[in-house]
Amino acid sequence: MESLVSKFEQFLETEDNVTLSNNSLDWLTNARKKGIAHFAKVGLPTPRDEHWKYTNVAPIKKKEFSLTNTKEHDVKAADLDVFRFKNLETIELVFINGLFCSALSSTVSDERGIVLNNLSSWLAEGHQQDLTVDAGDYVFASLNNAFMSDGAVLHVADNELLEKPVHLIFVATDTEQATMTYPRIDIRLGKNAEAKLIESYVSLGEAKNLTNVLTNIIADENSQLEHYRIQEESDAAYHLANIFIEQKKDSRVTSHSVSLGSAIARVDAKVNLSETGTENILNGLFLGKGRQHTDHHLLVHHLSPHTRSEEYFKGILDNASRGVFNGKVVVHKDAQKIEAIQSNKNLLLSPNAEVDTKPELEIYADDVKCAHGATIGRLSDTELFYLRSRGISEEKARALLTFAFADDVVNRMSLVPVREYLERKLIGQLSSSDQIDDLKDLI
Amino acid sequence: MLNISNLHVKVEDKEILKGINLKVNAGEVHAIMGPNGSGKSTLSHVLSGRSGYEVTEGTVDFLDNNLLELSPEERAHLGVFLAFQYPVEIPGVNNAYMLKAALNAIRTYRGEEELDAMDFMAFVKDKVKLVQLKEDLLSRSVNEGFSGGEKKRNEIFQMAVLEPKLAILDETDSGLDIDALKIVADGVNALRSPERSMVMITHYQRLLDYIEPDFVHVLVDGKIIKSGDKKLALELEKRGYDWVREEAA
Ligand SMILES: Nc1ncnc2c1ncn2[C@@H]1O[C@H](COP(=O)(O)OP(=O)(O)O)[C@@H](O)[C@H]1O
Ligand SMILES: [Mg+2]
Repeated sequence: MESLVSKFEQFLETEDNVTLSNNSLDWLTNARKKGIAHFAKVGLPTPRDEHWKYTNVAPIKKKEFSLTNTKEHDVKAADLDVFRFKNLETIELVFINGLFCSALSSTVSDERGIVLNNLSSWLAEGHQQDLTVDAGDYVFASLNNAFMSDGAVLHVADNELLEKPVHLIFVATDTEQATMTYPRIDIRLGKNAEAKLIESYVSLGEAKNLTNVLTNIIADENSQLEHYRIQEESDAAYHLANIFIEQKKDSRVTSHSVSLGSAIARVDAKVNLSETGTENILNGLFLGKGRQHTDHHLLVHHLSPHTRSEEYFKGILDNASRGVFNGKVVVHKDAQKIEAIQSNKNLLLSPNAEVDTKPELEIYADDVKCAHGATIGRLSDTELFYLRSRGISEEKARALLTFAFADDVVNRMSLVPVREYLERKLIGQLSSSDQIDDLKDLI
Repeated sequence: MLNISNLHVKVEDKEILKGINLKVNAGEVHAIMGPNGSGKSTLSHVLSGRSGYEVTEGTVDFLDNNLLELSPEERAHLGVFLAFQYPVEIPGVNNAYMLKAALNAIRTYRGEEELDAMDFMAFVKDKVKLVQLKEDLLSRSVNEGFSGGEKKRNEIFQMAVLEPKLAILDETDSGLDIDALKIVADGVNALRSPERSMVMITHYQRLLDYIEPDFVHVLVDGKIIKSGDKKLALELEKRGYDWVREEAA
């Protein structure tokens, strides 16, 4: 990773799918140059950086990842079945090691003004729209600007509703040389528009890749977006994500973040509730096992009165895994009559697991309603004894209680097939194989 | 069936049970009465295998098993059931699911086939009526948001489904109004059988008007200081515990 700056010049010269074949677009070239300049100045974060105190990316720094990917792969449509949601029709876009796979994908471009396409095809169509994202202090967002590669564009025109949920599947395979990818997802909902979008990050085999994705969401007046990210990359992978959300008057954005995989996973969400009447809900569930490290950093700005935000995160940490939660809400001056709720509950399943949680509030208005709480606990002895006294084995009682803890977050999702998918995943992770069949009756 | 001999139990270095002797034969109903804090719940917890109790002396034999060395679930498999004084609320765990998992664990131990969801619902249908439990409570989280009476009825309902050999009822009557008490008592009476023994813990004689015990024991300060038949309960009701204490001193 240390050689990124030197790789950049060559990257900028190359015209291919990875570089989006389009260095003639001014906004893109400028974004790339600005991005690498920021990175060249500050470098990768270290634990001395306040926002990276608990998450050390030194292992990433030492590793070499390749930017050039071949289009060759042996992934078949059926290989992805395990990552699809039963009984849910979606519009699917598949990316394999960062490259769009048209054979496995469908796109939308209809007369109603709904555009769903992969980014490089969209640019190739000649769209001039500036998709620049201001990375601010987020250095991985700057890197995404610099090396922005294929991803998805979902633009929904005013008053339109995209009925089917969009499913973006980013697949990493176990390539000879570990790859790094910088997907960009650009979601713009017009006035009164509605859409649902699910991002899945998956691995086939023990992929040792690095994903550095940026999702940019702009929700115009009275629009509604339900957004999901399900990160289940291999335990050898590294996952970095930035989600930037900008909300206009009366819009409502719900974003669910489920983090199951990766050696190190870091998700930064930044939300601007720019206009009055907006509501933002961030739900999250992170599971750690082995030596996994999962970090969610949320930053919600209440910039206008009558805005509402909710952060609801749960963590389950087993073995020697570590979880980090930092939820910060800033209520700006004159943002009166706002409501902000922050909750982070954590369950430690092993004496070696650890979690650092910090809900933060910064308030510059006086008429606000805020509630925040964070807990770190273990399974309740009383509940365990009650179940065991009925004849349920200790192992199963533990799995049951842990599942119940997690399912609470899953139940906040509106798409039932996604819930069922995740519940199956959870059961698979939480109980040993001989318990699974029976626990399936739970759902 | 159950033979408790010279049982001494410590909690956090404080001796709570100070030499309990109790023999319960198949089909018998024993009432244990005693003032608050005398160790009744401690006894029920030790019998069902709750951790945090240190047995310093004595033995408990249950159907030729050394009960004290078994895990709570193993005791349940053998047929021990505790109706909790304070039934535990478990958010997110479905009541019916929990009970089905419990029943199937016990059936597997007994060498019987597991019941699937449909057979299970058919099996519990009559048992629900037995204690007049509202059916929608089955699909709720275990005890969560149940009223006090509903929790106690749920305990007896679970007992009806799991068909234990030894049921320990810890203050199943407390917090019940007279109508609810009758329902619970009818449920318990329906479950009396020559193969099933019961240990009923209470400090009110009122329950014993509805469920007639074969024996009554008085537990004071960690010891059974007097035993008798149901007339003893009536006397305790009238005269309190002090005279028994004095008699024993
Ligand atoms: N976990 C515990 N820690 C400390 N003391 C306890 C604990 N459980 C019970 N005790 C004490 O043991 C005694 C008996 O309690 P308990 O068995 O609940 O009585 P009963 O059910 O007869 O009212 C009481 O003095 C109580 O305070
Ligand atoms: Mg008690």
